[in-house]
Amino acid sequence: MGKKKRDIDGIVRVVIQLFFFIMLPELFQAAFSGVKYIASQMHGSKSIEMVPFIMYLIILTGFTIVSGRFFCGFACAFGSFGDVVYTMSKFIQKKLNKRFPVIPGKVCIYLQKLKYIILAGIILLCFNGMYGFFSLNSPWAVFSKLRAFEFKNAFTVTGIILFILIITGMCIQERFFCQFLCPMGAVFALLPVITLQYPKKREDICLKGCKLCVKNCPVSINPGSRERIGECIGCNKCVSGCPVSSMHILKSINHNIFSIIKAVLLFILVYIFI
Amino acid sequence: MFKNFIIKSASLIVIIAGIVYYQRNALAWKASEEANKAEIAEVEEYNKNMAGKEKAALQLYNDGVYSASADGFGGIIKTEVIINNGNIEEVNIVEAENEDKAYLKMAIAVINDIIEKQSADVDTISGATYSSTGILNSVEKALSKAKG
Repeated sequence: MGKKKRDIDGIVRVVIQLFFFIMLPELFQAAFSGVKYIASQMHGSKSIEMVPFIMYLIILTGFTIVSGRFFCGFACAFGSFGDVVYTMSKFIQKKLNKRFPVIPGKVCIYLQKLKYIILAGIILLCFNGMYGFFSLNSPWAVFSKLRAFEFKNAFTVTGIILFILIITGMCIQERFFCQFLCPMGAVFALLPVITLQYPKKREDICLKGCKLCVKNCPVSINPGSRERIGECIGCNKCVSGCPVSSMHILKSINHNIFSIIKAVLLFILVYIFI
Repeated sequence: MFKNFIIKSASLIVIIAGIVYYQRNALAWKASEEANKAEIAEVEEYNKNMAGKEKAALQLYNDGVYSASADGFGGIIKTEVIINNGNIEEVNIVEAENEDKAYLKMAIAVINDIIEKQSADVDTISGATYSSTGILNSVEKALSKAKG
């Protein structure tokens, strides 16, 4: 039963990720452009208009406050890309019968702070009007160009090097970019989230010494506790990996149905407003 | 953990309040800037009427509809420039298939700048650099046709 349950969970997640990757691949970048837009306008002492970037930013932050970082786990194109890279890397490791080195959990916790520094750095650069130069070297720009099958112009060497480094990281650590580097993830992690959405643990039925939920967590948190809960990307891996259904999101609704409801809601929101 | 939630909510409110406060000032600056601009335009209009000859010299482009294309973000952007009485009257985007919707919507703001300045020599839109550069380059090409 356990394996079948995991399979269904996996299929639901991949289908939602694929859907968003095809339909709304620019979401993560457009929303972060909203953050940069605000800082850039402040640099020029200009007013903040209701441009599409701001709409994306409001929709995604609002959605995250209500339903956790569901966007990160299910709808972000870059996150999905990272999942594909990591899955492929796992497959290769299995074939070669070799394990790539892993980043120890304690180091991960420190590295997770890096994204706040990146966020602050980008905001400061925009605020000082110096971001233009750096934006050309953004690894996101490389990714979105590749995604649009546009190979002709404007690949900078730095951008490509950064992009390759990030892919290397993605091979080693699940959700490497999301938890360590993503400035949009940093924004989301700082938002207050209505606690209903986080995974919960029923300690009374837990198997003794079972730490599967902790082991399965791609962002190195202890899913049952509320510690560093801002890092939770709502991927449901702790729930689907649990052998005794101790981990759950809501008692009344199956977590897959809950995910599908959230996906539909997010898509409708974006569609209505943009 | 409830404490954590309160701290995060409080900082979010502070940030939003800061942005709202900034926005109020920015709108005030914008209004005064626009009043200035209107005044300048009035003076210019007056000067133009005084020296009737200048108007003929201002005919930068030949009337007609010119179109050209240039590389945008994900492919080719094709624009069409309508010149009337020697002035850029309208700029339309004819084709931009591979642009992301959000970015194209942002980039379209350069069209206002082009019409205001009567030239393609305006700043790109930060955040939508590729798409706006594509629009600017194609308009520039179209305008060079209108000059010749």
